[in-house]
Amino acid sequence: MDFIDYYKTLEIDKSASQADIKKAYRKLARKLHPDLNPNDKTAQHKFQQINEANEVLSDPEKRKKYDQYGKDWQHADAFEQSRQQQQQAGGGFGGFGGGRSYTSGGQGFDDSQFSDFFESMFGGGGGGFRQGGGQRRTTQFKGQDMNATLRLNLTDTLKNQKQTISIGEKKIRLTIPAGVEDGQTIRIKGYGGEGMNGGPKGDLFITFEILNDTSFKRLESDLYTQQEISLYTALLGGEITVDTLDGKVKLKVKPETQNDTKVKLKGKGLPKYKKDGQYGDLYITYKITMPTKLSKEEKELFTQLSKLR
Amino acid sequence: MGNEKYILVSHFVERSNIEVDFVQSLHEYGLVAFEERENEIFIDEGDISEIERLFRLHHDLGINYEGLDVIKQMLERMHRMEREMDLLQKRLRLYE
Repeated sequence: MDFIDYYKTLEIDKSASQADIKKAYRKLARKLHPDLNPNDKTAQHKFQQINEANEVLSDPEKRKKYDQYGKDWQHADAFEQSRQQQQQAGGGFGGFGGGRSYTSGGQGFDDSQFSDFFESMFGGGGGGFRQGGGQRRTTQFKGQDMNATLRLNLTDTLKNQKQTISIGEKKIRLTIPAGVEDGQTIRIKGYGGEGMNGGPKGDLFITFEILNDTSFKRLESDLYTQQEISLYTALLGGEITVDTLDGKVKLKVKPETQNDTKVKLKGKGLPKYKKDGQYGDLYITYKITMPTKLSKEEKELFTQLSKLR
Repeated sequence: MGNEKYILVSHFVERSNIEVDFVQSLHEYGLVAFEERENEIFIDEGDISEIERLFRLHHDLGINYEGLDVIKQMLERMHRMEREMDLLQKRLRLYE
């Protein structure tokens, strides 16, 4: 556990006035507030740090103790003993830890989220620091949202999937709708951290990582693939067999088909997310393969063909 | 209107400790929609986390209603751009 320089955290001098502290805190809070920096854990951590610094420095009594003993927090016990002796003797200055309640302006953090250094100096749990009461209002806050990642194969997204996931000691049964996309996040209400001051629990956000176990490329509910066709099929037309996610299908190739021609197989893509019975399309790009190792006869025929043009 | 989707504003403010005036002001500034039925005012359950977020910004940072409107719009725009960027990245991968 290291000493935390709260002045440095708030980017102010030790001689800063209460107005300077308030100004510095508000400036940093506007920059780092979690609601303005969603999914940015660094900003959230820094926001906690500036809250802690503000908690101490904006309270003249805490600030006085911090300035006096901050760097010597390891000796808090000794100070506490000394304080108790002084109190028994009928006077003196209130010291560290237990027995005394402090009020706070109720930022969105539980005291358990403060650093060990803070807990050591100002007490935690049933000790020195409590939210609410006093002149400032107590606000209920929703618990912290939690994030988890779930990996699925692309072929698993063809149908609704029932899965059980473990979050800590809790097991959650989930029905994952067909067609869920890579990087998509779903919210499960009330499965996050505990609320504060009786506030509701946070939510659990599950982000899906979809591993493509097929030869198709995916864009939303549509699939893309390339299909090689022979020069003769491209020129004269014909029938080919192509793979789709639910088996092989026969496809007619029009005569004089050009290289890179794209055809659409309607409804042969992935199911559309939360749209029962609706599917994306499969796009096939034809790649014409040129014959190689031509025989003498073939060369002659191609020469004849070329002369016809 | 399904009962499971809308909740009474009075129930919400009671449970959340957010002042009714704040919710009323959000409505006046067009930041939250009300559903009125039989002289009762409801809010969409899906708007609750947004109201809580706006309250935190108002309470923690002292942002006024005009500021909340700007932030809401900017965040929505940011999320749209993130989604668009994600889609473009996926499109690019088709050519890899």
